[in-house]
Amino acid sequence: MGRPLKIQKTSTGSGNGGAAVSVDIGFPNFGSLTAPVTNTGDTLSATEYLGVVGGAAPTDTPSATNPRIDVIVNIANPSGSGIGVAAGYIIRQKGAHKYLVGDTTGVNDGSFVVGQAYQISSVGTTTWASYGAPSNFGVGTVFTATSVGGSGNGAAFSVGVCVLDNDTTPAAGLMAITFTVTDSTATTISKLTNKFLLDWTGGSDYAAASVVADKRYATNFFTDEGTVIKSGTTATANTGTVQSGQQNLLDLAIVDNVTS
Amino acid sequence: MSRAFVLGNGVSRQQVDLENLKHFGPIYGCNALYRDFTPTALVSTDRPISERIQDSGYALKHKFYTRKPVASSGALPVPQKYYGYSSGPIAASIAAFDNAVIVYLIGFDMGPVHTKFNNVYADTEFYKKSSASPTFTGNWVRQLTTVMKDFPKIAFVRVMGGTTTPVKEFDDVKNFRNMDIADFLNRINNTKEL
Repeated sequence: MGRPLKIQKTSTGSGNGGAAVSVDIGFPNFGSLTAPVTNTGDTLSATEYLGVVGGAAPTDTPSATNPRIDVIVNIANPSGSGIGVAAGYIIRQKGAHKYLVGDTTGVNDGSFVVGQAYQISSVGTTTWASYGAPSNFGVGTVFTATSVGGSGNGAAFSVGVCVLDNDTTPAAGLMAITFTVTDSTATTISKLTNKFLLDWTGGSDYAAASVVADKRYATNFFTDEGTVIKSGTTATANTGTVQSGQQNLLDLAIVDNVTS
Repeated sequence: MSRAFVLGNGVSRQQVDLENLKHFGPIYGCNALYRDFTPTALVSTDRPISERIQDSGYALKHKFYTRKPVASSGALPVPQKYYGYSSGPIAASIAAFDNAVIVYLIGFDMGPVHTKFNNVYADTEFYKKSSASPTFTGNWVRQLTTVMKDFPKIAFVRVMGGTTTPVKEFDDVKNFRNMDIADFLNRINNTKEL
């Protein structure tokens, strides 16, 4: 799989009760680099950067400067059917095409489904430990419900594992992340890392013959103009003595993102 | 409703008086059009500008479609079938869903001006510079072709201005035809008949 997608999060610091510190919220922006190499379109500002970072609501704080990846999910419930297509967020990567995700449709105390995983979004007066959460629960805690809950005013987001799909209305257990290139058309992603994404040009499955034909793009949150040289290659164009199918110059793609 | 007008932001549409056009039917527009004119419905799928539109409160007062409406913004979701499409093709589909019989496509230039970016709003916030290379039009062509074929009983008329590029794929669609902009302007400005 390679390195998993970096996730946007915060740390409470090394000491007890330390102030929350943003961790992995983005890559070094061009203004912080001594000799930045931007895209050929030179459209990235000093506050922007190449590469993308995922994120775990409700504990992260996306912004226009440091957005997080937006996803469309249809989490499977314990019976196997989907809880519905909804906006979601990535909690962490589980495989090359598989992620632990949350559904931003809130579920109130008293409406939990036994056996369904949740992430606490608002602690409120809910006695979370009585319903399957660990005793040290807090906002962001993931647990599997052992009860429908009670009458507290806490809330949670449904959580599950979903696999990337070539459909923006994914079936149960599937999800979609979209990107745009050159116009506002939303195109689905078949594989995503911090630096690159693949589309579904090779076909709508993960067969080897399909994957090798998928087109690779350089990811970012800000621009789709120009090209960048793929790391590890030296050619300045997609010609010459390169392996067949290899891309040296990559188009930039904007990964769909959340800024607030 | 008999006719509807869908506005792209290619520069050819600048020849059309939009206030006058309102008398002939509902107008569907895209993205930054709202800065200058309030259409019957506005569509924006570009995230930065769609968020700006929703933040401005525009969607609370006017009909506005986007992919992911912000809660309580008043924005409406785009038709699910065309979720991934660009703003212009989605606007055309909404006009069709609204029971238009004839849909006029104005400012869908689909081509560069002297090989440069062709957009009324070039050099403004959220848009490329007028010196930038043209936007790839392949997706727009494919999406509009699909929309037109999905609504075979609706006539789609593309108003051809001086900067409008002919599209061969459109010519193969049975319910599509071109109209020269001089003819179109004469009809709405003089004869008052379309």
